[in-house]
Amino acid sequence: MKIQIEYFAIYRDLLGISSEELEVSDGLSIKELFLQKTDALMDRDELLESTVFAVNSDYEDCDYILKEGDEIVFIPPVSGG
Amino acid sequence: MFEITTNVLKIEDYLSHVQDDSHGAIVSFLGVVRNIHEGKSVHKIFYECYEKMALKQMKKIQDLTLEKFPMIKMVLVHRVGMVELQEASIVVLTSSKHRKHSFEANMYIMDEVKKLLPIWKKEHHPDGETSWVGIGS
Repeated sequence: MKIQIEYFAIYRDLLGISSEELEVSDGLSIKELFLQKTDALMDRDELLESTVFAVNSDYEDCDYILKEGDEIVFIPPVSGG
Repeated sequence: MFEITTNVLKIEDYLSHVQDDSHGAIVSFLGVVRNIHEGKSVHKIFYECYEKMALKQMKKIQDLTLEKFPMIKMVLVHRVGMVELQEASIVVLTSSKHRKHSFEANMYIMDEVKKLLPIWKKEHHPDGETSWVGIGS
């Protein structure tokens, strides 16, 4: 199935990409997707610790199972205001 | 009302949204760019935003606030893009019959903004370096 990932802030800088459409296998959780996409990053564990996840503009748990057409964003610590 | 804008923020542009003949108190909060953060000099900040989600979360903050403080009127505006020293990145206005609810609601809105809005600061330092706030980069 296809999903869309939008990258912001530090993830756009670290991965050098602003968005991508991906074919993923059924049953994949958002945390597993994160681990796949950040596999090559040095501080991956630290990043995971401080990152939360959004699906279709709502916050979701890391155990969320991806669905066809989902728009995913890895949310590093927010600092609005 | 709430919005995200790239424009310079001025309180007077939003005052009419909270003015009410029966309200005797208006509290205004401006968050402005300061020149130091965690001991490091800052000369401007770039605010990046996941706009679609930020607007959804602003609506949620507005709904939560009006549920908790049904007697107030409110404005929540966040600026994105490059913001220079002492320019405002956020304006929160609240009004009510008396000052207590306006102050409390204003604080509540800012606390929720800090928790929920998918907006990120990239600080620009005088030496040309940049850093994302809240995480090493």
